[in-house]
Amino acid sequence: MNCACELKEKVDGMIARIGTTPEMAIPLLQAVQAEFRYIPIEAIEHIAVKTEMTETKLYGVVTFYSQFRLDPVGETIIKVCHGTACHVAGAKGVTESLEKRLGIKTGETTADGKYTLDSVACLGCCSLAPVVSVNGDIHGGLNRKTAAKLIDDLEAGNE
Amino acid sequence: MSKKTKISVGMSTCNIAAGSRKIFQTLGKQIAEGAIDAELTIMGCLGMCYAEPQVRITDVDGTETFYEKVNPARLNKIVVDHLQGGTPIANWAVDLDARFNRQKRIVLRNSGFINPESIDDYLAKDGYKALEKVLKENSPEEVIQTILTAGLRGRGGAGFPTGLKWKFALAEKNEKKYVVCNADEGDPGAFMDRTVLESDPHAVLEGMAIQAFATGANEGYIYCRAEYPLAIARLKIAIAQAEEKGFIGDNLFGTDFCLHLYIKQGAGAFVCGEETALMASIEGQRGMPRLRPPFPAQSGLFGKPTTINNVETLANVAWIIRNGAAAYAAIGTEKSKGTKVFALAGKIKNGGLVEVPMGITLREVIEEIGGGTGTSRVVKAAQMGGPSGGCVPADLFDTRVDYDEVTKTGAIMGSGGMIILDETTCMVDIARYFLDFTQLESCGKCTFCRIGTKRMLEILTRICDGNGVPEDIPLLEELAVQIKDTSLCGLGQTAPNPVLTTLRYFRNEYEEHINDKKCRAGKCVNLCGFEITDACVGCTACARQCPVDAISGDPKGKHVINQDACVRCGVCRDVCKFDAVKVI
Amino acid sequence: MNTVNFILNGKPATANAGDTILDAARAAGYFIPTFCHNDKLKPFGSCFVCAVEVEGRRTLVPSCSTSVVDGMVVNTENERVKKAHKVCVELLLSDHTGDCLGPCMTACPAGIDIPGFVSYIAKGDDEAALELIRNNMPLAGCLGRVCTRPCETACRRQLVEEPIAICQLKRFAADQAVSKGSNPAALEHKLPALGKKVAIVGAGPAGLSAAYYLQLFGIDCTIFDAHEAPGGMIRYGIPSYRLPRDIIDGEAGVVKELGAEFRFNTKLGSDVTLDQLGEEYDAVFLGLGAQNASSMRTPGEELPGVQSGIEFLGNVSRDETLPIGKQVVVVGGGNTAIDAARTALRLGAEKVSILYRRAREQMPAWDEEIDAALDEGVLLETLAAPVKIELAGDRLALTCVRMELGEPDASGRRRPIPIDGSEFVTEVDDIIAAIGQNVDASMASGLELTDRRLIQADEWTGRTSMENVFAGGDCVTGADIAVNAVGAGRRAAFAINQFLRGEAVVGDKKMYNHSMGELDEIPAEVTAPFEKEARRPMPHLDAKARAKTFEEVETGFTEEQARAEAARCMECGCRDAHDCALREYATAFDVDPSRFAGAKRAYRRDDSHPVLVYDEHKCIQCGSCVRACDELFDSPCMGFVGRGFTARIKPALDRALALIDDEYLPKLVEFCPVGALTLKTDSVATLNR
Repeated sequence: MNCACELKEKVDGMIARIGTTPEMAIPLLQAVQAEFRYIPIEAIEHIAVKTEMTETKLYGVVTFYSQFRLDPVGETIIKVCHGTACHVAGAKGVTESLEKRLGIKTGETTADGKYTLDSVACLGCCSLAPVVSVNGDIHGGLNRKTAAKLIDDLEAGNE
Repeated sequence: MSKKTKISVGMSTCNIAAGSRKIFQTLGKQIAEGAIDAELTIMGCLGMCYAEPQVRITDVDGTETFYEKVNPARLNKIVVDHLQGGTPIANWAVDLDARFNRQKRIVLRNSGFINPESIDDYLAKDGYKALEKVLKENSPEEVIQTILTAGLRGRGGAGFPTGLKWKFALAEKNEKKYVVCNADEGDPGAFMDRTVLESDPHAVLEGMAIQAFATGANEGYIYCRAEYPLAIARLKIAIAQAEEKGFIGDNLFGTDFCLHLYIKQGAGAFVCGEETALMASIEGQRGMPRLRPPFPAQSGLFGKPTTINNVETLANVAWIIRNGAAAYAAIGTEKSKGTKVFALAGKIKNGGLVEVPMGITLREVIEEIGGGTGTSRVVKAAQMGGPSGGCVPADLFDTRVDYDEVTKTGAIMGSGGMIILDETTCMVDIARYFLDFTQLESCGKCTFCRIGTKRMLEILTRICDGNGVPEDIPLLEELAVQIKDTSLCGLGQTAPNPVLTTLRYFRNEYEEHINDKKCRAGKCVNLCGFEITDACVGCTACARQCPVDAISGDPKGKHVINQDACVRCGVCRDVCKFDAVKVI
Repeated sequence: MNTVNFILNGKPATANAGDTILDAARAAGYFIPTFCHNDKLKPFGSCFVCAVEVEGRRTLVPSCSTSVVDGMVVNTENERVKKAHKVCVELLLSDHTGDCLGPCMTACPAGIDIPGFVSYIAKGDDEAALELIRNNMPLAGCLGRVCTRPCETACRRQLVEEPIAICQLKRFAADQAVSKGSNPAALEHKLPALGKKVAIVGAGPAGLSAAYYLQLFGIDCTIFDAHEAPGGMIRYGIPSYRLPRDIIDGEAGVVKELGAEFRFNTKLGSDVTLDQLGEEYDAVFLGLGAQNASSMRTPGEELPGVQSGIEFLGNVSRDETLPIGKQVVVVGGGNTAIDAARTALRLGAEKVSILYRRAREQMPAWDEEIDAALDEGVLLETLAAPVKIELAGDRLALTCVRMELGEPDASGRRRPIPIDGSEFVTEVDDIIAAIGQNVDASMASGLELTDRRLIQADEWTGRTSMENVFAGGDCVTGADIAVNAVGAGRRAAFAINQFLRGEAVVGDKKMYNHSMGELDEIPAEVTAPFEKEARRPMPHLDAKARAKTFEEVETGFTEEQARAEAARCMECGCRDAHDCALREYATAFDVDPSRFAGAKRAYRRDDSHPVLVYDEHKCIQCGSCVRACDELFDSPCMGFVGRGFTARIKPALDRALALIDDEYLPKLVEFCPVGALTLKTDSVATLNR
């Protein structure tokens, strides 16, 4: 965990780079999330102090957009695509299989902090349905068994 | 001009997911080691996503050979026979002209043919010539007239005449105006815009520049969803290149027209595909739509006149300027001109992008270009328009691709997502799926969408769980009408469409779920089961795939499903090649 | 100033250029509901309850933000628009958690504003408490002693430890007025004389109540009663140690002060007929009661020494020195039986027993009454029923049989079954049969009766089959509790007032009420803030001593007790119930939110702030508070959080309001159209503010 001053310094750098006007709220928050892998409340408080943005508005933005998280995420983020093609192709089974294999529900992070399981509306790779993204890398054509195996491979260190 | 063999490896998100990065790296290594003498580059996506990774080899004499499904094994043979041996592998070569026989590629004209990260490639294809012509020879009014005559309509789904939109904005007297490119392609199952942005980003930039000139704007934003990182990366490169070459910036082509473009990333909100929500998002706010009037053309981004156009719409513009309005208007139907890109997915043999002239029938698109289901099952319906659209049943596939004709069926043209469904798709479940999506994405501002769609979803979930009652259908219909009639934005106004169309064409499935507690498609786990018939030959494929080991049987003997252990996932039916698994 | 011509609901209309449809329609006198609209704020478009139809527009449009233009054709009243308004409110209610009125108030048949009057007592303003009670119930002293307290059964405080002593607090307020000689403002509320007169038959709770309110409506009443004093069953069926006569006379006196005339010893049917009254008066109200005793259906009950409980109590109420035998048996299990037994003791009987055919748990009488009787020395013989009564010299021989409990009968109570061969005989002096009363409807000849031989009358208005005759109370419902009669009398007064003024006779307004549900549905968060504090017990005279006199047994709360007991009230119900747009429209559109039942928002109250209370569970997401913060106060206190169905409005970072140091916070209350934001300083009384 970052100490408070380190966090403030980093955020100051982002503010300097990106801007202080309200329209830069989303890019600024995206930079915070890219750095810390989530949005610490202290970051929101600090941005409100240093810019024209208010805590209320920032909090409203953070909780509106799916991309932002207020809780730390795992090292590896696994997103199961639930677009129409993936749904029709069996995304539900893939999700259930991953939930079972990881022992968590969608939206949660494993106790050891290694994996976060999430769902996403559509990744736009519909011909490869069902699709799962692992830290941004796309894996297509999965079924229940190969989805569970995906985790096995990650654990074994292959990717 | 290169005197070497050129190898282009498809590097779009779908190609990469299929493994093209590895292909690229292998080739790169072999070139570095001197095993191959060639120039290695990347290309975008032709839309043939069922056959990726793809590689195009252009020989020194100009012959082009297009290879598909290039996995490492295939690559080896291509390297040995073609790159090293000098002989293209004839029976692997794809005849693209034949493939695109029924298609008319305007929007996708460069996709898969050029390196999307090379502005020179774009320039070699008459890139930025349209912008030059417009700046040097035309007035904004003339440009607008061209677009009006061409009959270009918004490709984001609403189909509003583009020229008219620009005309309203031009009429506004304001020093400061904006243009926005809506690259927030949120419809699940749609990836037309992603492909264009990854494969031919300059086409979009050029279109935006012309849009800006026609409306009197000098600043623009491309709002691209964060789920498309490659598209964003390619856009950034393209803008930098365009600025460097003077196609974006101040005093373009020596005129006093200036345009600066910025990229804003979405943050995961489907509703931000709606114009006013999109603008709110650019302004750094929650993506909650606003009342209209005032319309964006009068008061949009930061309160200034703004035109917002979809990626596909803009990708048409340069072509129209270069080839003339008449050439564009010659394609299509009376009210729907030009082409439409569709993203075929679902139970379809040849999934991917196709660009067809308006007026072609759905049957041609799905059966002849798409190849039908590619299995022994028949197509049941085509879902068009994503969560705002509807399911068109197979017996209406003579409907032509035309905004008004499609709307008459109860569906909408939409942005282009077309999901093909067969008998294994439960239409009630599909309706529930879309309402689930809508509920997740509703911004929550207005009463009818926020609460009404929740109630519709609760009813549909009950029906799919086996707890439906006959009164549920009239209640769904009542809610659907109210929500359509009294919502703030297009998301709410169209959210009931999937329910209404499935009720219209597949009411029997609803009634079976409610009255008979049965799901004929085998999807709703509480309302169905699976049984192996006598057609079983004992190949054991199902037993091996079953995730809960519920199938037993000897090889060559009839297999049996243990009903207590079965979780109704349907994998056995999917893998059985003998059609021996039936829904009970 | 430009004028715009357009068509509004089929008629030509004009507006100023720039006016919204809402402005123009309201100026023309049409009703359009709104929630998120506020003249001080920019149009927002969240609630959509103001949606109207504009020809040529595919969907309905929000009238609060759509400008009128020349030639526009607008409809604000057709079926499509009305349906949308109704469904909008129904959808909002389906995601709304809270109570308009506290469960005590909705349980009260007279609709008394209980949280209101209790809070006045807690604050020390007993006059205001009594005034508030009298809005709905003029017999606070009487009913404050004998009411069966359906309010307390519903009181949610029992989820903490015990219900509030609502009834006894009501008595306290009434007694305070008597002891201070005050008569809160009744005469100030009187309307000018209408010049009509009404005959009220029966000076019991129904009749007194009807007369009280009619007098306030400016209508003169003449109250006829067969007895010689007012009160009806509460005088002649309840002994004075429970309800002193001077309390009854005092409250009947208030009705007299308002202008009513009493004519005692006048019986309907014999001294005066219904037809006569119908001719002479502009309207008649019948509050005849159920004063006929039910038969024991036991051979020998016509013998001397056997009387009904009603007859017995009635006689004693006239003369508390009547002779009684040494050994008395009272048959029955209700309060009347207990009253009869305890009265018999006070008359000097040596051994008084109550005979009841089921077990103690099934006795309808109140536990406190049964206990009080037992404390005084009354004996209780349960699971025994009379078989026959015979003369035995100058005494009576009562044969009883023992009973055992079998399966439940139609009333839901376990049926008593006689045990063969278990008969036993007791010799007694007096037998009192207190097993119920019925109605003698023969006095009201000409009126239609129900199959149970009760007067047929509408429950809400009291209208009978004769145009100018109204009825209420036991003569309509059968023997029932007094507060129901009081409520019926008031409702009839409203209806009679409308009748005499030529208005539609629909009775008092019935407002929509939203409820958090039954006791087992109340979330733990509601009661969590309250620490256990025992209910104040009602002080009473010592048991042995009091059994010899007719002095009032319960002596009433002291001020200290009353204030402390009243302070236990959890103030259920919404401070905004009188002023809530959601409730107003729910009433006007006659909604049925159960059609859209589903997931709803959870109870979440923030009352950490010194002045402002935020009930997130009542919020309708109109966003007015947020916009007020943004547009008027330039202060970022409230904002939208989350998205979709679970979106909420919260202070920054979801902090407690107490942590927000912002002078504008209390001003947000005026922007909230419902009761999500209220001020602690506002009274909880919902009526007559």
